[in-house]
Amino acid sequence: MEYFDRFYLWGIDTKYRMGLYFAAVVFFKGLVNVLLGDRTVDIVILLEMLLACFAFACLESLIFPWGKEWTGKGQGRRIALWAVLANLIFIGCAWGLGWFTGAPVWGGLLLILLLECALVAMWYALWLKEKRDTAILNQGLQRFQEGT
Amino acid sequence: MKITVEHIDIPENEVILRCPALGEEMLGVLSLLRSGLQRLCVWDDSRRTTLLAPNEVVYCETMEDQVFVYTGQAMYQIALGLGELESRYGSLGLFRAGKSVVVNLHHIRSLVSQGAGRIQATLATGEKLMVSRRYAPLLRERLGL
Repeated sequence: MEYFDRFYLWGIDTKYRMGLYFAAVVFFKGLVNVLLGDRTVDIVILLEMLLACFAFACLESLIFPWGKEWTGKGQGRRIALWAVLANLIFIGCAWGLGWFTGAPVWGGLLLILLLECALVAMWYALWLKEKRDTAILNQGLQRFQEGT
Repeated sequence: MKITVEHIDIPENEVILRCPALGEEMLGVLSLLRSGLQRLCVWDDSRRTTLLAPNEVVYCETMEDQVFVYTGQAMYQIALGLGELESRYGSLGLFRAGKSVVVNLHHIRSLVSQGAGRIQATLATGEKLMVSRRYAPLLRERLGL
């Protein structure tokens, strides 16, 4: 039962992240299609995107297992591996499976640039969240130490 | 250990401990008697007992089934377990920060939120302790967050 619970919790977390990546990929696919004058998205491409996002979310959960944390070089290596995999999976699938066919070369390069920005933004958001949480914790500590 | 209770007419209750040397057992008895005074009965390497006010304790940790108390200037041993320390002196600031650590919240200089739900505490002595994922929500609750 414990294994099932752990698997179920892993599934919830992975599906959540898969959904997040899928929404972003579909948004850019929709935007590119609209700019190219197409108002539809191929359902097979949607399925490919969903599977690619699921694969990336699974790999992400392997690189950063819940409850474990590394410091210094260990953390750096994992972040680098995560970034390389993100590029390989999303750029590889987009190019290999023709997700953005019809887009000009500069459009493709712009999409790659947006992907890199999104990857950096994710870590920046985590850093901001921890910074804000640290401030809240220290305010609480100060109140506690002054109050008793 | 032989226990004798004498009923005699004296103005104040009195406990006399008789032993050839202060062993673990007697130190435990002393600790139990003195804990009622809101003081921690601890002893050092030379088995000299001291009564510590809970606010002098920076943190306590277990190592090989023994509990050590750190005050910043010295290290002592105590007969109480970490659970007992927290339950008896929790209201005075002692908080269970991990499986093997109890920390005095009044001696924490700063807290840093870490990934995976953990919190790093920097003590007034400069030492760093990690509040585990299991105890971090309890710390937040204790701080009123």
